[in-house]
Amino acid sequence: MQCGFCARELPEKLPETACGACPGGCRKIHCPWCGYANPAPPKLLKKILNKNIDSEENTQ
Amino acid sequence: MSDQRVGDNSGGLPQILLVGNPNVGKSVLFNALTGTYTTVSNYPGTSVEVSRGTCEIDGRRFEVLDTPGMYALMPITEEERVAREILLDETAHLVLHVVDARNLERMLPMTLQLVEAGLPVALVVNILDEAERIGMQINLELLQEKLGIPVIGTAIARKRGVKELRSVIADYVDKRTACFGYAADLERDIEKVVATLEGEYRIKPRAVALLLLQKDEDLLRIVQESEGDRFGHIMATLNEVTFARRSDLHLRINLERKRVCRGLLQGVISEEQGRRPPFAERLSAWTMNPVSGGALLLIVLYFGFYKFVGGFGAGTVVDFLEGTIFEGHLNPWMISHADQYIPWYWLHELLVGEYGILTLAIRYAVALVMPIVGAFFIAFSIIEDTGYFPRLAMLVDRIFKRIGLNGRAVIPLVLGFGCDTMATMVTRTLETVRERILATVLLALAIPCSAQLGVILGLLAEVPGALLIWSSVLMGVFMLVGLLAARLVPGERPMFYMEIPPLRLPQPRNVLVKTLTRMQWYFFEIFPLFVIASVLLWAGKMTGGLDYLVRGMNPVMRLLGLPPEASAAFIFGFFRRDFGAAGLYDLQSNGLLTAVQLTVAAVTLTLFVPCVAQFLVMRKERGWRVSLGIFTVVTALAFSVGFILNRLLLTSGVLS
Amino acid sequence: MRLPENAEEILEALWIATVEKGDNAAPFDVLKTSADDAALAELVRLSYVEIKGERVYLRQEGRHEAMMTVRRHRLAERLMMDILDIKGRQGDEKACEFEHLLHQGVDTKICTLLNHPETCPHGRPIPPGECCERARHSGEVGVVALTELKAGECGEIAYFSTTDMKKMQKLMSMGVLPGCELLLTRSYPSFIFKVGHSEFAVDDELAREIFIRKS
Repeated sequence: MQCGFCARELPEKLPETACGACPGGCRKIHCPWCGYANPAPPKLLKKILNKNIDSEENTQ
Repeated sequence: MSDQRVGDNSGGLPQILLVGNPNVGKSVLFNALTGTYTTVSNYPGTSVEVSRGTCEIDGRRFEVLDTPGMYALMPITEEERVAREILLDETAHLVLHVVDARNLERMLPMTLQLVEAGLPVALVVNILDEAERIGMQINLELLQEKLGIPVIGTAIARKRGVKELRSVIADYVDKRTACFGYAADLERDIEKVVATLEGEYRIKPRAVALLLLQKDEDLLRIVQESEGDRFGHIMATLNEVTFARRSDLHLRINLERKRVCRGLLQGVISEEQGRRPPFAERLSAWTMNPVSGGALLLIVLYFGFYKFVGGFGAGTVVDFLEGTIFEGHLNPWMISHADQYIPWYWLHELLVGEYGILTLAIRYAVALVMPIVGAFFIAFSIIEDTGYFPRLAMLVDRIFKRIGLNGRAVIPLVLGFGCDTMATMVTRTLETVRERILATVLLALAIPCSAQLGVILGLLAEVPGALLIWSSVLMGVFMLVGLLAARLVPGERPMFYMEIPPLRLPQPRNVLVKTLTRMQWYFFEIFPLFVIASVLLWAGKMTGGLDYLVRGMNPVMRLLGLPPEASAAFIFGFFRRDFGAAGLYDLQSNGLLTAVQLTVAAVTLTLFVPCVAQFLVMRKERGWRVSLGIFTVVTALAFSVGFILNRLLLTSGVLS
Repeated sequence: MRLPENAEEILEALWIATVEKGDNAAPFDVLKTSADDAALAELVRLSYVEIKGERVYLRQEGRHEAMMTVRRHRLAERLMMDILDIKGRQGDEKACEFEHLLHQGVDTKICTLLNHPETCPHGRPIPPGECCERARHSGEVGVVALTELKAGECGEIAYFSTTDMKKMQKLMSMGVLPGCELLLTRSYPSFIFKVGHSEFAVDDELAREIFIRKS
């Protein structure tokens, strides 16, 4: 996933621990470069995103 | 040097080191190689983090280390120092130098240095897909031949080239043959220094000599340790050479490396020349021109927010959900059932009464806030996905400097239009304390959050001119408070620098996923709060406390020229900004407000106190003193502006 | 022939008021002078200026001298800031003393040393001298601050003048390093430049610290 502000690739696993501000678990990815708060897609949606990349891979 | 080696608990597995500039996809590559079992730990004695994991190729296991970003073998930052220490301390099976294909020429000098140092290097030319998209063709085989080390082209983010990379790791045999010649005089200098070195080093004497000539302090210490008595002689030779050249050898060596790289890349990179700049690039130039950029911004605001969020989201969709579904069918049905089956007045009130959970909290959340926030997030995600925001930051930098911020403050302010609470948290990424306080004030005061903005846009769209007055008053207050606050809050001047990514065509799937994620997050956030607020209001109504509060607010409402019923909206707004705006929507749809009253109420509610959640975050980020100060100032200012605006509108006769 | 120092100050103020700010003349108080000022009388005697009532007019004969005075002042300012690293009010004060020493070719030498700068630290133009024209004709290229580049011009990053490590690291962490080829695409509202295929934006303050070898 790319950061919505600086377009850099967001690391899949961020070392920082959740700040606890989102009720019901962390749903934000703070970009380590610019600080922009990106929405962290829940598992189901993430699957859709990754499927997209995989299918592109297969067509190449 | 630290005795505690990073790779100590690797169990003697052969090591793969990832090195390269920051932001070339190193960490993505790391994840692609290692999978899930990785650890992150601080490098001994520093705050720099190093990730470590293992991977298995053809039955052989390797340990993979992701080093911090570095630009050259000669360190400047702490990260670079750690990266080099790892490089020099570990005996690697293979060092993968990861570079960005688009900037190959800029990054190749470091490959040279790694090879020079005698390390087992392979070059990973990453982000190849983007390079091809901009018309770059890279002949990797030729480059491999010229460099004498394995060269692999990849686009790791798209999982391209991972297989090839794995087979290179498995098949790697250390040959280390290549040597790059510099200009004759520089070679003679290197010779002189190399001749003085007798100690044992992990890197080749030639590389040590080059670093010494560049006055690398860490290395000087290492040399001093291993050479002992001979160090004096080495220093004398070094000084002699440096003085004889009478020029900056650091610059000289860098220029030589660049020359060598240019030679290496001859015939390797071919770019489509004379191509008209692609449309994206011309559009990008327009967005950064203050005139066309400003016009473009207005167009985006008009269609994206006024038409789509205010018109479609807050108009069409809300009318349908709120008017047809809830008012037309659901509410009457629920109330009639409650009348039938719930004999207790208090429970009846709690569920379907004036402030009932079903009739107020759920209706507000589902029928009013959700469609508006949804529309807003769609527009927001589309704009976000094009890469427009950094351009906005650059455009407003000059204006923001006036109010003590810099272009970077666009990040929290733009996020504030989504939710001020979350944005207040993001202010911590601003560099100076002063900027953080200023941005917090502006967020608390003049930035409406998405639902509030949507409801207000929808309401004001029906009254010609009202939106213009509302937005000019807000802009005015924003600038005025910014100017004043910048004068009052002392601190250093901010500095602006930023990389501007290329414009992209928004990907529908990205937009969809981001919008849905944001909506889900928002819903989880507001739903419990809406229910709690409605229970509190219900309790207030049952005990009579609410009446007391409303009566207390009445004089204030009268000062603003608003009907007494409006005080409820302000009390709602205290719980959440969007809750207050929704209350305003109810007032308007019941026909209780004139054009002037609507405008005044909208302005005051927008400026009015941050909601409870935002206040709590403010307290957490800025402390009690600052946050209480902001709270008081914001409340006072909101009502004074409302009062003045009411008087002005009434005397001038505008809108009436 | 040398003008007295206070006469130079009057000429300088008169140049700024008339040529740069577009007034046709300047009143006494702007020039910090009065009708009985000896220095002013000297300027009148040389027919550099003309007095009508309370206002002083710059004559054609005095234009060159006035221009050179302004030039010397702003060169002195640049010298203080760029080479001697004396900034702020102290720099301004020292420049005011220093400018009167830049006569008889010293200004030319300083100007060449500074690589023929076009603006003073406050952003006002430095009138070009003969040495600047000569350098331009012979196509001399030199190292200039990024702020001196025009949109569309390119060059190689020579060095960063900042002594502030933090600032330098920020530039470097974005991948902007000495030796990189740079193309300036915009200079307003921010400085936008390309290095390789990446685009960067910096404000004036930072742009002033990036020095470019023009190509």
